[in-house]
Amino acid sequence: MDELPPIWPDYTDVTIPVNIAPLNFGPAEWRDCSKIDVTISDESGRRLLHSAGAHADFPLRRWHRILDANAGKDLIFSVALKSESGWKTYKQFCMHVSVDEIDFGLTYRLIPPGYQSFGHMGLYERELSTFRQRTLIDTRMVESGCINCHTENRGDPGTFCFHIRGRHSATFLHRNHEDFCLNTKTDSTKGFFVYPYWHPSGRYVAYSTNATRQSFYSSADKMLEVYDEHSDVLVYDVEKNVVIRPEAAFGSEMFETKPSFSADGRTFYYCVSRPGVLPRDAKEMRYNICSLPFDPETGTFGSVADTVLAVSVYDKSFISARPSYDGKYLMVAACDYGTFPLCHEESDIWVMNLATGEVYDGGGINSDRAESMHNWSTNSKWAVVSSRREDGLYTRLYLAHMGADGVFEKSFLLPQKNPWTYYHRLINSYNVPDFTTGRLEFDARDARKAIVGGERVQVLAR
Amino acid sequence: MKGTVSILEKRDNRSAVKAVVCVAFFGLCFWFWAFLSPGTLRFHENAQFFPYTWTHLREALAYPGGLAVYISEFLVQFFLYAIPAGLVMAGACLLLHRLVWSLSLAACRLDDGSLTAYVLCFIPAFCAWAYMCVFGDTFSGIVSLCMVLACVSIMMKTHVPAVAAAAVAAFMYAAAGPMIVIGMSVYLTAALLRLDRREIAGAATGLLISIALPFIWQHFIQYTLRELMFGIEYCHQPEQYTKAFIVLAACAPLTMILASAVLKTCSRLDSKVLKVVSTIAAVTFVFAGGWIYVIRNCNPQYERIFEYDKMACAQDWDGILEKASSTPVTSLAEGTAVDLALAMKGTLLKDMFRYSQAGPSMLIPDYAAGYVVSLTAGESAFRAGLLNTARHYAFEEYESYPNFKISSRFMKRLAEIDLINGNYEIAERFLIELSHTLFYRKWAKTYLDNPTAITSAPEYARLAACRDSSDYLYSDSSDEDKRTMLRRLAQRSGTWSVAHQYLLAYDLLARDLWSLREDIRLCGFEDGVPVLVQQAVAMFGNAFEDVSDVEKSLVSQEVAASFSDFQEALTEGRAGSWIQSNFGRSYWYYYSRKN
Repeated sequence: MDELPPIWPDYTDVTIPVNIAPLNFGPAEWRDCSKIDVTISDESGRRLLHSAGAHADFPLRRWHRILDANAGKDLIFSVALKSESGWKTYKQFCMHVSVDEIDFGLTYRLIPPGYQSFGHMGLYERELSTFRQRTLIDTRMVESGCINCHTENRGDPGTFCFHIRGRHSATFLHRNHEDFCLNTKTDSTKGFFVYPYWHPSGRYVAYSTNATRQSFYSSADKMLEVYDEHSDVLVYDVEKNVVIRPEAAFGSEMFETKPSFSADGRTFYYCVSRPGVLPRDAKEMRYNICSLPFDPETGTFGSVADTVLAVSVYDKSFISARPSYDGKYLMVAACDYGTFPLCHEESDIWVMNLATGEVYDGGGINSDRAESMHNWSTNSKWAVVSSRREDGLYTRLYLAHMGADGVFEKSFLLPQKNPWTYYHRLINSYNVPDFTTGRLEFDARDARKAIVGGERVQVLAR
Repeated sequence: MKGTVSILEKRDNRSAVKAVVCVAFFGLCFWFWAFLSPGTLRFHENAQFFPYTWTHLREALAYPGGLAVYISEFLVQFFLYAIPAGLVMAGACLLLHRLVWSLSLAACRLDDGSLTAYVLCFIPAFCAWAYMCVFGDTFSGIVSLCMVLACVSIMMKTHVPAVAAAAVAAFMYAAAGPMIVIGMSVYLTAALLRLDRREIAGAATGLLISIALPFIWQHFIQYTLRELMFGIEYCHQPEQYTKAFIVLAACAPLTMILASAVLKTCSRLDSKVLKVVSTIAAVTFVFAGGWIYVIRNCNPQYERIFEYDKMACAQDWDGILEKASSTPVTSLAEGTAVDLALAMKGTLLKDMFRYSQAGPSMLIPDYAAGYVVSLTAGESAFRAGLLNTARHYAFEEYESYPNFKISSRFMKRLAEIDLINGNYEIAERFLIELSHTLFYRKWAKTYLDNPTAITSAPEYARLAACRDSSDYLYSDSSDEDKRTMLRRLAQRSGTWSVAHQYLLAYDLLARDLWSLREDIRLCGFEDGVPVLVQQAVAMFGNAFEDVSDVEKSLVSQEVAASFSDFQEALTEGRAGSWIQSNFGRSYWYYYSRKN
């Protein structure tokens, strides 16, 4: 009775949003346990819900009624597991129901975790209060092209972009109910735009241009290292269709990548490393987080860059600065070296308190394995992170609540109707998750026509 | 002639002749697929994953033609073995013939008919046979055609009204895909031949519905209109329809029209001699023409590669060397398999130049050489112990099928590598999937039930023993990195191993005596210095000024004498053919010929 139940996913003592889908779970040791019996009670001990079977499967509507009625309180779970030796009852555990709502859904890419080739991949939208997943677009629709980096402007389902690579290469941009396909390669930029981040005004999108390569590790425990042979950051003015280049960053010898904007849109963050010869210097490449003032009215940058997170102080490589939308925190992935933390088991999410400058480990959002590709919910109370914590290879999405102390509480796996079957049979990884506040304004057939049709708006260099 | 005529005249004898023709066709087709060209069919099995799960069935039923694809995948899993593969293919082709024959008879309102028409009805069977020879065409095209023709056959027997024909067309479009357009064309043709107004109305309605359905489906499904009109899974490459596919689709209605015309003509024909002549002419035309068409569609190069690949997978090293000795190696993939077989037999550094060698890239070709080449390249990397390179190749193979399918074979290889590497949590995912298949289930269950079983499998234990645990970063398309990886592998292996042979062979094939000199120091030769290494060391005197006594001691007197003879032959300006016949299998010849 004094040990916590070995359940999978591990939902013990997690904080969950009041509008999340049922957190179904089952025995962690599926070989040994044949059945699970779960009873949910409220803080007063009143029995609310019971589920028994191969896994706990809570009815959607009753689950939501229970969450609504217990917002701000704890739900108490009593679990018994049946094995060959009979039933065993475990110590009760809680789920704290936060009054902080989570956004309507998530968008992400599902892709087999591998090397150069990809078979079937796609962009998907998942409603967080149900188990419903919608295919936005997949490789088949764009004649085997790679689709990546779907990004919304602060969860706005009407303002987003993503890239297509391959035969119908383009940057697809949806804004003001219109679709555009951009040709982002110009004479002055070294490649196509990647890693987008929207300016809060919706007028600008920050991108980087990267010459990305990969090499392999000889070790059995590591697969590969992804690195840039060179990279630059820039901002695209959607209204004027021009590229704005920060003089202090663009074109310098330094490697700049993965930019973003502050909550007020007046600071431009980016990752920057000393140059190196790759792959020889791969293990020496460490990225600082720097910032530049940005004036959204004129679309101009300040001339002096500031180092926000310095390699020299923390001996870490910081990737993907994600400022919270309430302006309080900066979330980054920190790993020993490199620009692709997903490949680094030691990669964790770190948080910087923008008011105090304090920098610390993200806490419950992290695990012993790689965490990266993080994003904030629009109310900045929740974060989503891609984590390889389950098996070291297949990334899964975890959601975590930001506590009042600025540290993330224990994260939980994105719920599924039958999580064991779903996740153990899913041979794709989740990546680049982003929150959405509603169902995306996206018509796959219109998008396909625009992408395959071949008409491209040529981006101009200023 | 008179005797033949009387035999063919009688109905019982006619049935016997038909049976003989059928058996002959079946036998020929079976022999071709089971013994002449099993590799092509095996590749189909390699390029699919067929689990016995409801999810897989549900996914298949979600798009037009999915049921046909499901049935096709079920049958294709048997292509892993040559005899069942031959039986399935011969059976499918014969079924197609029987359906076209029965439809031709029904179109003429006959119970039986002339042998000439019967023989002509083998045309679609030959077309199906040839279609499967084409790299990229899938078995689901044949299954779909059989399904729609069977459906039309039932419709003709039941005289369905227009409404029912429309419903059948809609159902069959969902089950068999756009091949129903061919089915309904056959139905309309037969109805026109029968002059049955009710059937004509039904068939015309069915045909119109079949043509209209893709335009309706496109609003509910992500496939393109072209795919919905011409088939989603009939070819490996979406929307790349081959000529063989078009011929297969068109031949069913055309053959039926032809057979019906012949049936009607023959029924009015009085001349028995003419009947015999026409039958013999039909047999000659269909069987000889069909055979030529089949052969023209074959790809002997791929077939040879697939055969080498099959033997490499089965670790049939003697089989590979036997084949290479009887037929010269002509491609990179074949050469890779031969070098692997030699290494596994421990004779790579003795017999390598008995076979054609195209440089170090032949040992482990780059993945960029293409996914057919990578079949044997991946096998070679795996057996040599370059596990991460093998994982890379396996993953690329697993993911790169243009029809977005994944592969049981490479899923198994990924599981093997993860098990050897100790990444059981990742391997488990593949093992669970494979445990739902027919032919990989037993293997998967072994490791699913007992993850430590890997230690008791000698080959896996051998590979696990030389696992790399360091963080060396390499590119597996770089020649220098390949050599470095082999060097590291040889260092870890300790005793003489496949890796040592590969490393020295790499240096020899690269004509890099300097590296060879370095690498020889890594190798503790257990059974004496391999002859090709001795031959290379004998050349050190010409290449380096500081040849040590230890190095000199590696060369036997016999090899040293032979090298002197070789040099003498060169000095004397002996004819190339003489040098080749006397030294063609020596390293000196390889080194001098291509340098």
